[in-house]
Amino acid sequence: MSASDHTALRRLDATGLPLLLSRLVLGGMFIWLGASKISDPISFLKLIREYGLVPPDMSVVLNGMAVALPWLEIWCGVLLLLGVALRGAGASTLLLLCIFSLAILLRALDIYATGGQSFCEIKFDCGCGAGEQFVCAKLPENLGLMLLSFVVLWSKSRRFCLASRLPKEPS
Amino acid sequence: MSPTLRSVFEMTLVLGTGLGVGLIMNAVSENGLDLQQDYFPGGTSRTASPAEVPPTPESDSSAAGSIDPELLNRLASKGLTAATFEEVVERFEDPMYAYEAYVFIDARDDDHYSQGHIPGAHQFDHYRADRYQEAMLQIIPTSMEIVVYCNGGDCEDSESAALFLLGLGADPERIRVFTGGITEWTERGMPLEQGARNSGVMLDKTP
Repeated sequence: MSASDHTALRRLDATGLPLLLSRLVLGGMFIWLGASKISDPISFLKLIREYGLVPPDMSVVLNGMAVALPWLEIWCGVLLLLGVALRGAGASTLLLLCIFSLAILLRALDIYATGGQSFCEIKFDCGCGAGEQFVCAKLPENLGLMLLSFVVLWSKSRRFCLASRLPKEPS
Repeated sequence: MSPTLRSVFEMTLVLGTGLGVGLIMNAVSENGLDLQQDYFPGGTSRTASPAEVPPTPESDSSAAGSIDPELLNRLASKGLTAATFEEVVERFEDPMYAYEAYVFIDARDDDHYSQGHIPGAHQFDHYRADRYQEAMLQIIPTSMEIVVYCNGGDCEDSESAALFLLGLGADPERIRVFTGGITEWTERGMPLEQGARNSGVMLDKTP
């Protein structure tokens, strides 16, 4: 990327619009997906168990994930929408999306290895909150959300953020 | 503090707070989970490959004809025995069913149970075991045989519920898992009861 491109991106960032758009989409998605799981923790528990990532004798970890993850998603979404602790919220959503995507990919490869269908025909309820989805649609969707998380992390603008209206820390 | 370090610090704070909020909300919620509870007793995941499941010479040969051998092996590895559709119907039509010599246990949640269950079946949602434990403790010593079912197919709730019943003192010889579940029951034209147990409201299956 040339210096002029970088300057143009920074000028665009200074308008606050890329950050605002990223916050709205990412925050809205995280709140929606988190809220859809909260009312039925047992269904979510069954779905995340399907990944086989937690050994059977560590039920406290599995149960803890089932009850805490939806609230964590909502918490990140609220922070993003409000524009508070944006670096932390952006880094958290990026980390969560990386872990979720890797888990989905591994499970899809596992299903693919059993044969019978092409990779893009693989469809299952990943526990993401939106029911059954095709892997070939879910992974690019997550990639897009990762990109938005990266924008939140990269942006230096704090326009339209609640944090910018709070009193500054004494330096 | 460098921006990277600050991001990591903030991320730790956000993750810690979010997880803490989740645990607190779970503790105060009516639908909360018991973190210490093993909701999937038996430990064998249905995603396990056949090679991981031990061979089962003790599998019920009468059931073997119509039930997936892999499923039979999984049940046997948990100390459970399968029941075929024909065996379940035989018990359902036995005059002793009315006297609860044979007891059917529906291991599904409230919504599924009230939408339609085998007439006379008791509900035992093992994820909310404390709600049903007292009723189960009365059923276990008086019944000749207990048949547990859920949706059938991929559903494992009947197996988990059966293992819970074993934990409550049920005799393994007298517990059977109807692997076809409510799906096979319905597909083969058997009656369904709606609402509460013995409500008498039968599901109208006419088109």
